[in-house]
Amino acid sequence: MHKAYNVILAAALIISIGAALLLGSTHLSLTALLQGHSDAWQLAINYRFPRIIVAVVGGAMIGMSGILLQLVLRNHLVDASILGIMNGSQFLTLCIIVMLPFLTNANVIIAGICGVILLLIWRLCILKQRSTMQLILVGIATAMTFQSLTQLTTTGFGVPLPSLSTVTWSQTWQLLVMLVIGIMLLILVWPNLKYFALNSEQLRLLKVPESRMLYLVLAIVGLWSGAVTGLLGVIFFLGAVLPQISRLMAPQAKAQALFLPTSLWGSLLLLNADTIARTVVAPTELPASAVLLAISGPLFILLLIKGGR
Amino acid sequence: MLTLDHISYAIGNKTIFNDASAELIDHEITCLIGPNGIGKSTLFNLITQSIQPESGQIIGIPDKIALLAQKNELFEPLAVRALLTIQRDTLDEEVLNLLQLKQLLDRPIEKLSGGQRQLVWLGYVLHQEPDLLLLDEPTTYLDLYYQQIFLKALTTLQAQRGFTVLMILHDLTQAFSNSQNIWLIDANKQLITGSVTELMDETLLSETFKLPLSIVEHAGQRLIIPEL
Repeated sequence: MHKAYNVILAAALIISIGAALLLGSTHLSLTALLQGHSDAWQLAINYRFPRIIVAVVGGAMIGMSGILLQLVLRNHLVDASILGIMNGSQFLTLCIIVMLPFLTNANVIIAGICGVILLLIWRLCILKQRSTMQLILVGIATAMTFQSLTQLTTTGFGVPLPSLSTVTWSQTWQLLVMLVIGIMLLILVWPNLKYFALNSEQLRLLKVPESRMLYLVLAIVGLWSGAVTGLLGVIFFLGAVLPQISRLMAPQAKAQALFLPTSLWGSLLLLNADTIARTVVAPTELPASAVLLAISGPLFILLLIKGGR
Repeated sequence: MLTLDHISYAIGNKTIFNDASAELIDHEITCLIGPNGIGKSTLFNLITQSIQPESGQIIGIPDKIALLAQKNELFEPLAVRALLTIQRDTLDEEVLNLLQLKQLLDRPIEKLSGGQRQLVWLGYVLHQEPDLLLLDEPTTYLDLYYQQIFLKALTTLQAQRGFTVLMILHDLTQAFSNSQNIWLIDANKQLITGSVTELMDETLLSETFKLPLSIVEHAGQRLIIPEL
């Protein structure tokens, strides 16, 4: 059952990748690609491939960050966007690039580092077993503050914000590097992740080094959420919603079993949102993050009403 | 042997323990009794070292301590099997049988009744194969049927395997009939220890709980009941 479900998701993702490759303001035909038309291949390699890779990898990163954060905070309603980390790293990155313009091309890496710094600051200053609602509201206030600061900076200095439509190969490589670093850290904490189903006292008695794991996990989440924000902009609520979708499908699984379906759902949603964004009113491109928010916003409301803890 | 050596502990101005000493007898069951709010759970926290005594020390704390808390929190919707095997690969058949968990292995814990859930948590601590098992009012929220299964399974396994148990119970009859030793925190916050027979004392218990209590014999059992 479990396996079948992952296979279906993977199949859907492959079909979506096909669609994303062929559809767009300029339609690509499969026959042109197969016959090796150089124009067709150029379009695919220069524009479609990086965009697809970023959507697939970025969606998976958002999903995995969501589960990781929910696990270690023991709170099923949070993600990096709700805590204000995405908006924060967007603003911080923007500041760094305005001050040090030669770093513009490394913006994804910088955004990742900013994400880590912000999440660690947040851990030290804010997280002290607050109630779920207080945590969420403080987070949203933080997010809104950073959003307005970002807006003021972009308008004031005339710096454009990143979006999927401007993705380059260089940025794609940076994102992949972030993915690999995060996965290496994830391997370190992986065997102990399941213990976060229990409370801190039980972890202490089981001699699980909770605090060290928490910092490692926050580093991964910061790195990934920051990097994704650096490429796609802020995507609200998605990281909170994706793990819930997989929990619905596999309700009794240990946390580790949720990573694959959550990543697949993330990739699927982000990729298809982007495909929709660039096809429905082509040649005008809609922002993919807005399309996503239109989906994840209502889902998050549903989550709150359904009374998640 | 776990030994409390002249422990003192206070929360703010409120003294909880003042120069308390006791020895926990290995491989036996000891019940910790005393009025609400007198410091029984605090004593557990001292033993698990989540708090430190202000003076005195606790000697001989075993390596593997398992704790069944009053409220056991679970933050992921795990199935019974996933919780029991969280730290090991195999299930303990004997524990499963005694706790009647075989049928429940693949059920999500949050969907179980309160009684079943408490049996699952007992299964969880027993699967850790602890040297010392601490139980904080484990039967408080259970109906009589589940209280019986719970205590029966616990005493049976303890007798077979010989781990040390320190358990807080409020039902005095249960406390005296399911253990070999009693730790009693009296109204003056003194920690009094002794065997079950030594502390089966109407005056001492009545003063401790500020309520006239009688010990009556019924069908070979000694019951401790409030005078009506």
